[in-house]
Amino acid sequence: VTRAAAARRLGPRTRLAIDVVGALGLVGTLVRYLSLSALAPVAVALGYGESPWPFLGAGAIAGAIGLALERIAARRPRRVGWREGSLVISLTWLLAAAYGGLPYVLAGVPGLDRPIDALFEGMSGFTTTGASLLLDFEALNHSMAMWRQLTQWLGGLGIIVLAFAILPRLHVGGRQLLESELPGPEINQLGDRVRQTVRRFWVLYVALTVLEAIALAVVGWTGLDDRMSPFDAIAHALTTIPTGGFSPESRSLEGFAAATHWVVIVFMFLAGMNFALLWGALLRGRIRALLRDDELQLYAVVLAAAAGLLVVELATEDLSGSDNPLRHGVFQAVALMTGTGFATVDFAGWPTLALMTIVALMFFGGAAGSTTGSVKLLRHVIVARSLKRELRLAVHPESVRAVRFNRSPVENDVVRAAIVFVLLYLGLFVAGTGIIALDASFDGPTLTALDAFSTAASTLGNVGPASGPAGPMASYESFSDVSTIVMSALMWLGRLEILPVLVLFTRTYWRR
Amino acid sequence: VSDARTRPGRRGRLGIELAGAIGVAGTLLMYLSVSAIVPAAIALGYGESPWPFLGATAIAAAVGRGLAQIGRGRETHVGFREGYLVVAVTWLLAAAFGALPYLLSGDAQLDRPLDALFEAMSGFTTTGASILTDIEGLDRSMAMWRQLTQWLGGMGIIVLALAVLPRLRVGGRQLLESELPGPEVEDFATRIRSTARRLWALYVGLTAALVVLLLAIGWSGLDEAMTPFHAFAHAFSTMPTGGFSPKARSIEAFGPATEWALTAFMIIAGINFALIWRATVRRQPRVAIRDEELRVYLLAAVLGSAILIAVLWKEDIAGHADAIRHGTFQAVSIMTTTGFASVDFSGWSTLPLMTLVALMFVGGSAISTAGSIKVVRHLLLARVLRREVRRSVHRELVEPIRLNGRVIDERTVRAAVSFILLYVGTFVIGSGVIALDTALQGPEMRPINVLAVTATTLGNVGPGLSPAGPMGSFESFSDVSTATMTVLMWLGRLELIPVFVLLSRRYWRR
Repeated sequence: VTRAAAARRLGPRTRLAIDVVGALGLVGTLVRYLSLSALAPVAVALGYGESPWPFLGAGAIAGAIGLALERIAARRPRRVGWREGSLVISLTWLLAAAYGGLPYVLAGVPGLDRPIDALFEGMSGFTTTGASLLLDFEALNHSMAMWRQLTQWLGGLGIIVLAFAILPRLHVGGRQLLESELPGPEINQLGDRVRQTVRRFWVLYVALTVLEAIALAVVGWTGLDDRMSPFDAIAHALTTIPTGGFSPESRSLEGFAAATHWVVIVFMFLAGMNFALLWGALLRGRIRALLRDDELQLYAVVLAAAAGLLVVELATEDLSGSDNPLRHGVFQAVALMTGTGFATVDFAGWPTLALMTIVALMFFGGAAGSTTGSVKLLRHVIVARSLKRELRLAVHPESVRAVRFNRSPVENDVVRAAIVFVLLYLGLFVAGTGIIALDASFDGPTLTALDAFSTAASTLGNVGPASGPAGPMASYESFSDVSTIVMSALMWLGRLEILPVLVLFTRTYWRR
Repeated sequence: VSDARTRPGRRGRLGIELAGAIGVAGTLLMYLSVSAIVPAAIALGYGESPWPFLGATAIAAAVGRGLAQIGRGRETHVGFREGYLVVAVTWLLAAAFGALPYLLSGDAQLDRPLDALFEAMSGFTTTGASILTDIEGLDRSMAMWRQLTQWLGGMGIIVLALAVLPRLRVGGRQLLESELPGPEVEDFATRIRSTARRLWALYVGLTAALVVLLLAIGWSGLDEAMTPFHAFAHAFSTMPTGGFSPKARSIEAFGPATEWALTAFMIIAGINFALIWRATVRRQPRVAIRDEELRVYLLAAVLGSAILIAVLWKEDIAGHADAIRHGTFQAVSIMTTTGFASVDFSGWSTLPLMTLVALMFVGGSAISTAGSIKVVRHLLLARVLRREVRRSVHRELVEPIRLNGRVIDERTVRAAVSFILLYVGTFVIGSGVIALDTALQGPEMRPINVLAVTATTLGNVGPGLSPAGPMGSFESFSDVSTATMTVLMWLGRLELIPVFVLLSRRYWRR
């Protein structure tokens, strides 16, 4: 940047390259809107005759903070461009997590009443992870339990905006492949087209949730599953579609019947699909485009292979879940690959091969443009094909062939971004595992190496349960505060696809 | 590069000069076959049977000659593209040759061809993983042959790292520019030859120095167990960062003096040989001190040692005094991919085990005999990622990657990044195969043990965790796993790409 160009930028950007105040103002607006969501659990609380005050308090605090942030920014002209986007989404998710944790602290929920713990639970909610510090699920009343579910559902709404409107502009997400134009230099003036796209996928998201709630309620009413009350039907629908995995039950879906399990399998699978393709197939009849999608094909193949492996293992050995290998094997494969993290059996005690399969699945995720976390299939496809191209280059150094996806060439920048993402993901996974193992060896639960791996993979990939002390029927509460903070950070990083958070820690981002 | 276009007729339907490549590999095998004369002499000296070695020499020489005959007159057409095939086939033939004496001796531990191949592959790739259960039951000449395969493998690796892989855009060529200025010019081969000869001299010199040091330790009474035989045997497997030992309990059988001496030489063996040459022979120690790869290499060794020492100290696993010695020895041994053990670490707790497995992915410097990913690639990767994070803020940013102040060619950077991804992918697939096979056919393994066994063979380290721990053996694995691990050692040693390209149809076609 030349001096003249720098001079032209005078004004709010004199010392900082980015408009922090403007970004804060935008975050404030978002938090203010978000604070309204506390009204839903208030209604639930009133309906069940429980105390609405924790939610009203949380809503009031969040609303006040949001307003205050907006006020600060209101005095100055806003110059929030795409560069501020990283700061805006990082802060928004952080504040959303804090807001999500507030009711737990205000109500003094046992196990969640310390701010660090409440933040973890809130982060696990808004990142749709599903890792929980709760031990005593009976201590939750209906409204508090529903609030936990709701944080995941709201997180899912946010992810759709991220995936389709924001991350592609920040050159992060794989959805640059989506042919939608992304106009507008100002983040707070999302172009009409993007707004339409987002609204469309919100409709799909809401529709899927409603559909699942109805399906589950029907399972309950018809007597296929006596335990599936309307409350449980709504609660589980709210966490399936965002691939979250919270459950008001301490033993996740173990207590429910086979019919419930199969319904949830179907909806988890749908939630892991690319919403754009799903929309096209459902409303425009573009079923062939869906079936010919490279990502969907890989999704099916990986899922079939993993489910097959688990089913065979459950059928041949005497393990928890061996009573019905097909159902439990398929369920666990889908739940872990999509990063939902529901469990029908306690897989923490499974043998080596099954556990390794489960941890491997945590690195896949679903399709890009879904609410799943982790690496995502699109990136696996692109990286694998770029490695194939590198091998071709080793033989024919002069060859220039593009990496292809769905038969059309992928821009080199997209390939590069995918490779960088995978490497950063691996790096964070290794670093996270290291810190968790180091911390646990000094101050925390006894972990096996796989427990450390799976805990890091599960939080970074926004999956939820891991093995060992953080297993599906257990709780993350045995970890020390250091580990709890590290895992909260991993969930945050993983959800925002790493780069938007990482750049905030570089000098380059703030200067020039 | 333009060979294919200028000589269309000669290659027939194949895109490569197959006969010529086989001929070159055959010639190399013929030279290599002479090496079995050494253990034959030792056998005579100890009054053991020299016939397994002489037989191996005869067979290898005959096969090598036969192959050379096939390619007679066509070697000149062997270009860079055939290089992949030559390298891959040569290492395979070398391993087969190394296995011959084991098979011919009829020793019950190695009488199955696959097992013998595994042991020999572990030798020539300087891995150090062993299928033997009773190492001390071997004849002395046979034990020395094991050590010698590693030493010969190390010589091969120097040529590979220096001459072959950079041409194939695999290795870290940028480090060579100090030795080999300019682009690939006409006298590349001559230059390479003289450089290789120099580094071979360094390799032999360092081995000799270690032999003398170990002999001195033995004679001065610092370590009674260090006989002249063991001095030679361990020097032969230290310099190539191999890790075979004729002792069943590896270095545990020796005293502290030996362990510190080996620690020092393992560190040296993991340093860029070109750098050592410049620092010592050319008297430019500054170049070495300022070398970024060397700094990171030493830092990683210190960090790894520190974690191990801290845990050993805290948990009082080996006694406070020994914590420093064992911690340093084990970190250096695993990181440089040597694989000696001064203590049986397979029973350690989670954190030190994870540290050891992590160190298996570090490796030594480029142009050393160490295997695994190697420090320079980690360094390049870190810089690439830093640049890419910055680039996500400033899209227009064009920033070259530098190493030691020199700009690194983007193709080299890309090759390093691809290598790491391929390495991780191979590791994952290898772990999957071994996990699947051990679930079906045993032995029973914990996940970390599966990962360790894969990482140790792919990274040419040597020992894994139980049952393949440093004092254990790889013999309890099924044939499928044994074959998989043999392939992993082969892949890892040749830096993956030369073997992987052979699997593509494109390589063979025009």
